[in-house]
Amino acid sequence: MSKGDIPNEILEYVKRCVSGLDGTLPFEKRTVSLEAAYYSKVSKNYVTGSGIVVKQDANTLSRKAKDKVAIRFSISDGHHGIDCIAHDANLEYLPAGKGPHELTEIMRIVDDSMKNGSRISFSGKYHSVENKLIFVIDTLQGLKNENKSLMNEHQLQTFLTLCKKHRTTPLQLMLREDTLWGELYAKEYLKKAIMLFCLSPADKKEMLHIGIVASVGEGKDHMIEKVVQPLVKCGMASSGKLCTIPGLFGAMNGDDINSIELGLIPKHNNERIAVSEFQTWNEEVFGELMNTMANGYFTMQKGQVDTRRDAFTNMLFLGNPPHYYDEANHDKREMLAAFGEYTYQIVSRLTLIFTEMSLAGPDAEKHIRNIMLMDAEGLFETGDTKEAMFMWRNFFREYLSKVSGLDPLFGKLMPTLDSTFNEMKDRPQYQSAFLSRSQNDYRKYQEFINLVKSFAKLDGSAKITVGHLMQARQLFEKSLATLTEEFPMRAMAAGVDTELLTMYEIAKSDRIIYNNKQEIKKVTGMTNEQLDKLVSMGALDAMSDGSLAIRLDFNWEGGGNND
Amino acid sequence: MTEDIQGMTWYYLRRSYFPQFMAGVMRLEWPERFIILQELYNHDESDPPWEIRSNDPMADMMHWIGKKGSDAYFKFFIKGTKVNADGSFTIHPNISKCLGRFGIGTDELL
Repeated sequence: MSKGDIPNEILEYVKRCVSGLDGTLPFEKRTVSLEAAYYSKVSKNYVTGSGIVVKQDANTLSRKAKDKVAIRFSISDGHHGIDCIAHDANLEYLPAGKGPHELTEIMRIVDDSMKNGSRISFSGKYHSVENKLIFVIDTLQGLKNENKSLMNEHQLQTFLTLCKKHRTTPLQLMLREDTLWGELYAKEYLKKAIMLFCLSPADKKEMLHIGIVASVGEGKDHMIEKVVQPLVKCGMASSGKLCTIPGLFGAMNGDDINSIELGLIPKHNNERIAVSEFQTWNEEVFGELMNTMANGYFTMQKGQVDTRRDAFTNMLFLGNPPHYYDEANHDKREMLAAFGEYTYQIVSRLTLIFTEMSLAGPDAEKHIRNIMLMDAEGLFETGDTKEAMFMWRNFFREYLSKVSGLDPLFGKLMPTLDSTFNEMKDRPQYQSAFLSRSQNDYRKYQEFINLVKSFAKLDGSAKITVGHLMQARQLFEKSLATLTEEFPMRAMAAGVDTELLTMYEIAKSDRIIYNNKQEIKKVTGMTNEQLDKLVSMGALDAMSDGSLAIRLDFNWEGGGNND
Repeated sequence: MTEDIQGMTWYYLRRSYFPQFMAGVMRLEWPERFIILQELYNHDESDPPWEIRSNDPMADMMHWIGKKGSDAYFKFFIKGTKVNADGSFTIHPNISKCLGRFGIGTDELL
């Protein structure tokens, strides 16, 4: 919902930041990969790149140079792989020879990357060594700041000051159609959840996992393609047969069992992945995911290699209800049964869960069609719209990266947060959703803390305020509601929307008998079509004299078949 | 300092919980609504119980709420809410029950 224009002062400042006129590098999408190094085999140009070490071996350089040491290792970025060498030989044999201290340091960095999955950056070029092409390392270092935001502190504070001056917040700006949500129409709570997902977790307490189960054709994948991926780095895990455990976590190299390749999850450490059609996954995949979702790392033992990979990765599960789901006989939690035998454990690890048949809401059809028509006309690919989307995505990419590093404090609000959680926890709905097997679920408490902190981060705030607590509570409750509320699924399936439900309730509270159609239309504002629907469903009895009677025993759960 | 924290919690409850509570309780039919509100009122023992105010306590409540509007509902809300010096709070289960259509906050504020 875009309310009014974005204040010009904010717009101009964002433009300056993105174009680099504010004293920093322009805000542009950065790609860190091995691609350039991989394709330099032919040109043998000097290149730089980054990745994770997946195999290493220190040995003598060759038969001819037995007194020289060579560290041979392979680097992968999940798409490409290159074989590298760092050595202490002299220039006549191979360029870029290192002294003993430098080579030992390289060995340490390589070893650390191999064991912990930490990224390294390097430079060098390909050479032929004994009839083989190998990448000779010139420089190599551990990569700690690759995701460091281009936005500096001054820019952040200036932006926040401008937002305050114009009585808006960064989150409000992020949720607008004329900034990040032009290509997708979605409910407000869903937009907030997606923005939270776009924060980058630095440790396990900051990970935020979300589950969304909705009807087919609701635009779940579209949301990833058109909102998330253009904004932040987000891996996409595919459906069951196309997404294996080795693909997700990493596997032994076919040529060398002492090497573990890089899977999708560790590749997106400190970032996020979305899982499309998760209901098609085998149960065992969820079993393997459980530790990673809770701890932010996993260990693998293959051949002689015992490896730990960090995986502080936000996960978004998108899917449909299980094939046997029947709204008449199952409660909404059954929609999550797609997680298989690990449903309970996965639900415990999901910060937010939304089981909604429609992601856009009943009044969204017009908006969605508008967006589809604009897309068909190519309006998102040209002119001002494209330029604006490009600008806001570049700006908020750096903003999100910057605020992800904040650590907002609760201060004196701690007891209020505690009471807020206690109040929710004491409700029967909470007990039924999360505490059916144990008395406490401390994970939920941790997740709630993280949720509140994340709202503060989205606002760029170093301090948690009552406003952040309110937003977190509302979203947490919304998530709880979708798990437990008993809204009339069958009536919804029969085409009844919330508007019609409300009108019916108004009619019922006013009187029981209406002399004619005009009377009930006057009281409720319903249309002839809506009136006919209520009659056909049995909510109203149409008498032979033209009067209408409210059926007090009508039950929406009958789905229109009360008779 | 203490007042600050308490004031902040009251602000939070008024802004976040009270609108949900009021919307929720107003959805109830009067007999049920009366029981919920009467229990809340009587929870605070500093005032005499609601039912001794008149011969027809429900009509009395309807009349009083009709006259005072949302202030009346806030009065009941306060009766069921306790805010401590450190900012922690407890609310009566009857208030929890009325937070949203099904006892949990839904789309109303989102």
